[in-house]
Amino acid sequence: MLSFYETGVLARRATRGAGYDWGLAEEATFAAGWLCDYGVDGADVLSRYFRRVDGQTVASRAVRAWPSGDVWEGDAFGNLPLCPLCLGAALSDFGLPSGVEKVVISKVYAPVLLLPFIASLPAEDGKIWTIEGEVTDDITPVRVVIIRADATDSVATDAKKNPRYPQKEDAFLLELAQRTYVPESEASRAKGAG
Amino acid sequence: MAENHIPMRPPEQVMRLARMGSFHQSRLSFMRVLLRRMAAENWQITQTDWQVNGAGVGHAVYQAKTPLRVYSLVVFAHDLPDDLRSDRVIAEAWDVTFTLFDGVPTDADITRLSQNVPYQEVGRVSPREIVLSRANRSLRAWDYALEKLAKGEQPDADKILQVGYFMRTTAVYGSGKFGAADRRDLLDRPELHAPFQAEMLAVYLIRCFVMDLLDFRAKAQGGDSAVRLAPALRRQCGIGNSTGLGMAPFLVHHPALIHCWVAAKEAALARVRGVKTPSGTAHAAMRVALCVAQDSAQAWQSEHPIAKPKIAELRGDLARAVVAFDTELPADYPWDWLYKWGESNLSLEGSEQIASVLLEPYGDLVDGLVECLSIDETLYYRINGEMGADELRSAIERIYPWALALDFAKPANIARFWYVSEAKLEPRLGERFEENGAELEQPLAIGRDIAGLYQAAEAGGSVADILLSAPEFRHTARRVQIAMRFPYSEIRDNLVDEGMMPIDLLRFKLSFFGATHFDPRSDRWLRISMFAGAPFPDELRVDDCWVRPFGGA
Repeated sequence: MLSFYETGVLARRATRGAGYDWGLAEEATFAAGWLCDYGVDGADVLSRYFRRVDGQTVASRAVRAWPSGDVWEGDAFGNLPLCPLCLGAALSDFGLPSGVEKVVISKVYAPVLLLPFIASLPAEDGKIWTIEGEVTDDITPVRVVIIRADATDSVATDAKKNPRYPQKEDAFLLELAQRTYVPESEASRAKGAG
Repeated sequence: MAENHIPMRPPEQVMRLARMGSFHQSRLSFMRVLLRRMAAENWQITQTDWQVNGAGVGHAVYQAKTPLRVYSLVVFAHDLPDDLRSDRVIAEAWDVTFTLFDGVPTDADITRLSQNVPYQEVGRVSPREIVLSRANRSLRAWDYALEKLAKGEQPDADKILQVGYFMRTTAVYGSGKFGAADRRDLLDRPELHAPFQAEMLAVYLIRCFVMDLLDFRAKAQGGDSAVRLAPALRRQCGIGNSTGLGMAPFLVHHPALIHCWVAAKEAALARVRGVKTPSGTAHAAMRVALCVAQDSAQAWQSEHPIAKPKIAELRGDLARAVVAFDTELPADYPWDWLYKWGESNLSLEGSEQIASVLLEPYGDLVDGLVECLSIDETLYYRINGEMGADELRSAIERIYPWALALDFAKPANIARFWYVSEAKLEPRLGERFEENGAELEQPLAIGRDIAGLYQAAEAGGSVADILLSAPEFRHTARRVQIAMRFPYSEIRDNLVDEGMMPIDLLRFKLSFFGATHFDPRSDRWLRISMFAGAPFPDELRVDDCWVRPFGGA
């Protein structure tokens, strides 16, 4: 079984290898570790998601502008299915509009990856944000409805009962991580790098 | 006694590479934190298993019984042929390999560990293991001492102390590496709460094993005529360590933690400087501490052109400091005076040595700060997207003026790039304009990225807005917000500058470990000694200032 640390390092390197900026690779580390703590193999989700979108640019799945209404779709927001890491990071940064009871997002890959970000949003008047309905670890793009719920329903307030860490390093994540490594040069070796 | 009117030194003074590369161990160094706890809690350390044959092959177990738990060092001895011995992290075989086990290992555990620990990175350990490491003999010291002891003679102390240790570790892995226990799962244990305590314990115990192995091999070789290494010399020997670039990115990736280390030490210094009238005992103890430092500097040896002038300066500085102490020290606030005198009159080596020495007599003011050396970094990880661009920009102006003053279009300012090597997945430093791979650089060009974020923030709005249009600065915005809260979190120098000295980063970290006698072997790796002078388990006593030079003061 991989440790929390190893899971995070692999997630970070693979996310970077999948074309993401460093800050988003850090968010992927956070999301994968969080999911593992709550019983979902986050590294496996990342692997299947990255395999599905391999060859696309991250920008094609990124959030382009932050909407103000409660139905989030259309060209400005991103006309292709959204990346859950980009969307999750933006949700964490912007928060959700106050006074709105739910937000509908037309299509998001692997919505389970949104959960760590949504769970980290601050509660308001005893209400927290969560995803409506059951969230599986399927990575197929789906419509996501984010709703307000009683804070007592929050997955984040549950004790971490059944953590699930990867049994071994995922082959595709390793392949992505490999894209971030540099062959050591003779010059560097000669300098006695450690 | 303490009057806290002396402010802590500002981060723009402390967190410069040249100064960080002149840091010395102190009361707050992690090795000393461990030994103080061991003595105060009367830990029982014993060899509980010894299955090593006369050729030095087999395994042994050393137990450390703390008030709440038992930790066991499980060591495998291999008697490596000379041609396979290498200190590089990329080596594949070692003289001894070891792990720190959580509890008392069963026979099944030993069998499992024997199939993994000797292979280090290629093997796997489990959450029952906390540290994984290995060590190689210093041929010069080991072979000579073994031959002498087997013949019934003591080795020449000077010859042994020129090296200072019989074995040196190359990498000491902890914190979840290769399947070991994650640090976050051990944080609630008081004995492991301070940084790197498990790693320090493993190194301390391997020192016990190495000394026992030396005596055992001498006996096997020399029979009844063999003698044991004399206790005084034994005590002066530490465990060597070769450290390379692998350690450097840690400092960049853990800004809040680094702040804690530095802030604790700076708070300690400010407290001691705030002492108005020291007791006679404290006064005498300070002079002893100064002389110990002086003797240690005399014993510090390195042939490297980076280290030689620094050591020479330090020796001269400390000689002058002793004179100043004896002739000029004022009655009121003498420690503040001594610190300021050092800053005005001594090299960085000398003034940082004074800063560490000043803490020595004041365990009552300093040691409680150990509780401030750790932090849950995840609490400060989330970016505050609501922060306005103006606030972000003013924070950058305040914390990173050095970065804004640099022209990153100039090749000299971006001459290097940090990367992870394909061969061993280790951090390396490349020359951006001479080597391939700069497009794969690790995020250590902090200054350059700060300047980029500052520019991106010109558009206004919130941090969330900035990061939506410039996601490439997300990691940088996180750094700035951490630095706003934790002023010592950020190194205030350009880590990709053509003249940057990586060993400054290593020295900084190793000084917090408690290492002494830094011996650079290039600008990017060095050897040190750990636990030299430290009491063995039967010699432990409370508040023993054991960091003494060879020969003792």
